[in-house]
Amino acid sequence: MPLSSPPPTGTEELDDPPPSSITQENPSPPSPIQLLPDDTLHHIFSCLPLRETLASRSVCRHFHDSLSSPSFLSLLPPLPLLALRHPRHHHHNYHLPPSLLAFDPSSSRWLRLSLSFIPFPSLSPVTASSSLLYLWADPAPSTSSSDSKPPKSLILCNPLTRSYRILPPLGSAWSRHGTVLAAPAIAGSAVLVLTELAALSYSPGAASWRKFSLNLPSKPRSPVIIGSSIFALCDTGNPWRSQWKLFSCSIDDLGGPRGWVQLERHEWGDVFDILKRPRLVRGAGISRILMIGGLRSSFAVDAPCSTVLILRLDLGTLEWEEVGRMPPEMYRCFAGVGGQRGGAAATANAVGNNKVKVFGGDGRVWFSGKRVRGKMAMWEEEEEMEKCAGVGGSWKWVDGAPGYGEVVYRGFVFDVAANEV
Amino acid sequence: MASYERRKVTLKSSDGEEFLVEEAVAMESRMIRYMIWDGLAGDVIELPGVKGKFLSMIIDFCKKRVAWAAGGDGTLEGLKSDFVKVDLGTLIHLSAASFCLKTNDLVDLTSQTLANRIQGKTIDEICRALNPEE
Repeated sequence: MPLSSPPPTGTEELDDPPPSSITQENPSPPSPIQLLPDDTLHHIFSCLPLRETLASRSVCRHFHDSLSSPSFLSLLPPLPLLALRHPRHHHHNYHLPPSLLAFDPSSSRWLRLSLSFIPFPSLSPVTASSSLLYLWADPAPSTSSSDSKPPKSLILCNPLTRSYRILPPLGSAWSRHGTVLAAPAIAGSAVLVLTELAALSYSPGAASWRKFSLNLPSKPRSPVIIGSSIFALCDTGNPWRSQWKLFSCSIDDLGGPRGWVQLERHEWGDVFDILKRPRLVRGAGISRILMIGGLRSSFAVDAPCSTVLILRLDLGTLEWEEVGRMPPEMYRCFAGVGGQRGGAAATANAVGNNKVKVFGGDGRVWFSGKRVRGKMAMWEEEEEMEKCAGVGGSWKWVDGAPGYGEVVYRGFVFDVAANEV
Repeated sequence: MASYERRKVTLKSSDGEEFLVEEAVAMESRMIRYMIWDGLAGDVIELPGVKGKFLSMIIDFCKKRVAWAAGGDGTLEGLKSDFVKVDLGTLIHLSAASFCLKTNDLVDLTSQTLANRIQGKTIDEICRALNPEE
């Protein structure tokens, strides 16, 4: 049986079409597996995780065609991945086929999904709403040097079904400074781009983007979409001392009279004051939000942090609880040696100085940092929260993608599944 | 208990082999069962999609299964695991034959066994796992 060329060591190249040599007449008799009819193959692969289907599509032409059948793909449960954004200062290599690099926690493997079905020369993955992937697309590099910045387009695609849609173009300032948020189907699959003062919103089928003033007390920090609402942190303090508060706004109410609502309960006490530079991450399910930051060792403004704390807010009961605390030996890697001794403020405040990137969703959070090159820490929410030894959840190191370089990872959760664009 | 004549039927494979089996055994195949119920089956049922070698193995399993269900020795799990203790090429043909005959137990069993050979493997390993041993 003709073999596909072996993938580069470490990263599995999924879903590349098999080499053209396979489609030519081959003198050796076909392997019996290639004689299996489609419905038998589908029955076998429906017993397996989606990763195995994606991998097997590269084995031979028969598998590639049979396992691309839309009715078969729609039966498979989704494959949750952590997809990577390009590192800052990424230089597009136009000779390499565009692809999405992603980590599969269930098999602890790095995978590469082909994006060659999108006819743009350079693509930059930015976010996803469950199985729909959003990328910024650059027009082809201009050979003449000009200082005009060409408009960019957001592209919405599904790498499994190889379908895509191009959204109306935006000025390049939005792609440089805006945060892209993708809403799930229950919120009309809207796409938002948020900056300090304004938001753009696009709904499927609309002719153009709509613009709204944000009307928040300050620049929104760490906006996330949960259900059909946006949640963000805002600093309502002063230049000497931050005072973070949690705000939410229904996507439909953006720019409307009701606008943003501050979430607050008397019982919350000083929950926002114990964290340094908090970040928000979507929690598991549809009604939980995680707040993650450095745990202050005292209320002094420049107090060093002792570790990273993960708090969870149940949006139904509006109660906070602690669900995770980074193990000390892990935190030392992020903070740098000597961080525990309260030495130079620079090392002690690793989390506070934004040297640690926090991203994730759906029950997993990843941490990357300048001092932790080539790998990430991963926290996974556990079903039964055992409040033992103050750790909570499960923590482990994840080796970075082979050959990816010593960069600081930034990513987002993405479920591979067969939803149509 | 006095034995009595049970109805028998002849199954004929694609390569002309004939197997005389009890109707109860033949009806483990849903395809044959519906043919008999619908009155479409004569004394000889032709099965152009299945070769004699594999039909024989499936008939053997069905006989043992019927005997076990009537209070015989052994376990169903044991019968199933014995059935799939074959080389890859045979397993694949048995899978295709089970599909053709709609013997649902065997469809699930052979599919799961083949799936186990694929699970957790890289593309390269899958290629090797699905190639019959020389």
